[in-house]
Amino acid sequence: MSGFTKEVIVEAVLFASVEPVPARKIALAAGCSEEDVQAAVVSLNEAYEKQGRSFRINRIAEGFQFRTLPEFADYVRGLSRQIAASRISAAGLETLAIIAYRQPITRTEIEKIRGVNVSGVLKSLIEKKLITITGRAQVLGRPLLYGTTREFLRYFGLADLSLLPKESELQVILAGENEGSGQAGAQKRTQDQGEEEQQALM
Amino acid sequence: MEDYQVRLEFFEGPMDLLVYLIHKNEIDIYDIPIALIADQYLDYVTRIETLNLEKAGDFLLMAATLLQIKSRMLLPGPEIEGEEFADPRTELVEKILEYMQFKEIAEKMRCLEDLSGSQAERGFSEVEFYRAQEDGEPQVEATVNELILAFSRLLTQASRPEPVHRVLRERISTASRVRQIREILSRKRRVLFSDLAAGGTGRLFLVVTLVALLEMAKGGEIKVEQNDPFTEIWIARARLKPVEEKAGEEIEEEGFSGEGGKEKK
Repeated sequence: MSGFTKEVIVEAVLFASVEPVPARKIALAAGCSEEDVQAAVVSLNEAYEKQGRSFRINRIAEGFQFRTLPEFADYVRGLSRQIAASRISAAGLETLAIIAYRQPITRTEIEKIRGVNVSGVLKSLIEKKLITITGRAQVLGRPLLYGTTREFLRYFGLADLSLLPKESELQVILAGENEGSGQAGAQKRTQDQGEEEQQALM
Repeated sequence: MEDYQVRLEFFEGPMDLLVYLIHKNEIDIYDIPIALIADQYLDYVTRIETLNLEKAGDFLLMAATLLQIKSRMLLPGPEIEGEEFADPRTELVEKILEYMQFKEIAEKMRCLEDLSGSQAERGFSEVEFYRAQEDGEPQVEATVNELILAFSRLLTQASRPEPVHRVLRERISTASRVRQIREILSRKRRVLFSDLAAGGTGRLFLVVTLVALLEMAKGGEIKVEQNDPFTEIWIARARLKPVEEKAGEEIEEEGFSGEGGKEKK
């Protein structure tokens, strides 16, 4: 190997990629271990910060990717061909939220939570490649199961699913808002569910 | 009460409305006054019924549920030894909490979306999103998928029952439709798919048009284009000269010489 540091090689590999690249692949390309890759990323980011650079290496979709800092949004938006207008609708976000936390999940189960028909929303989310069909449920009718995709992680800038806001955090907010005699039972059960969810996401 | 008038179109569904009522009345979610909620809910549903019967249907199941809970709250249950009286509201409360939770999560995801949207990646994705240039020149090469989607949309429209009038069934073959399209394209470099589809009536016409276009695309004679995904589809001439017309009713596979073959119709 030449006189290049592992860092600079990792940097080159990342520079050459558009999509997020898993550590494994970087390690392969750079000829070093995955731990080396992790360390390299940390030290590169430190250097970038010191130099006041406009970008960092982010952990996205279980891989690494160069991304500009949010501060530069106005400057890069004009150049990038991605249309900012393609934000997801509120209905789409809610449906996505349910799928992200409860996947794999069927359309009927989603509709039970949202209380409205979601066929149109599902179609649109599939078209945007944010969700996909992950299989069929083992129940009567064998309905389709939905789950989020890698593109979903990339779109929201998440490293992995565990970084979604925790359900149990939100429980606390709700409990605080509605102090009252009521059903301790109801509260407890949904709290347990929340913890289960947290475990599942880890 | 007048509140509803303003918000009538804003409630996506029963859960949405319930949450609104809970907030509006500042109700303790762990001790919901079911009678009050049921009444207000029903009042709302009756109003939307006058506006839009279809939409009201979505809300009916919840209305029935609320009434059922209300009645169970009023009637004393049978006293069973050692068993606690189960609150009939419990299931509903859990449902509402779950719904509110996901609404909150969705808001947080909106923030994530904004943050991620403020960061640019290297290069740009070839895939989905292109901005149409000022002169409206097509940027994206549409695929057969888009064509078929547009076709099925038109087909649905064509299937709607029309006011009764005499419809002359036009007999048309794929070959002659191809000739027609070719002729249109010789005059204009490109034409809207929907314009082509409007050139006749009935499903048969649409089907024949689609088949003709697919054949022409296969032969490299036309290009299928879009300015942006999910917008109008353009059919454009791809070659200067159309392929030699093959004899017979059907468009033959390439390679068939046509000599001594079928009769020219």
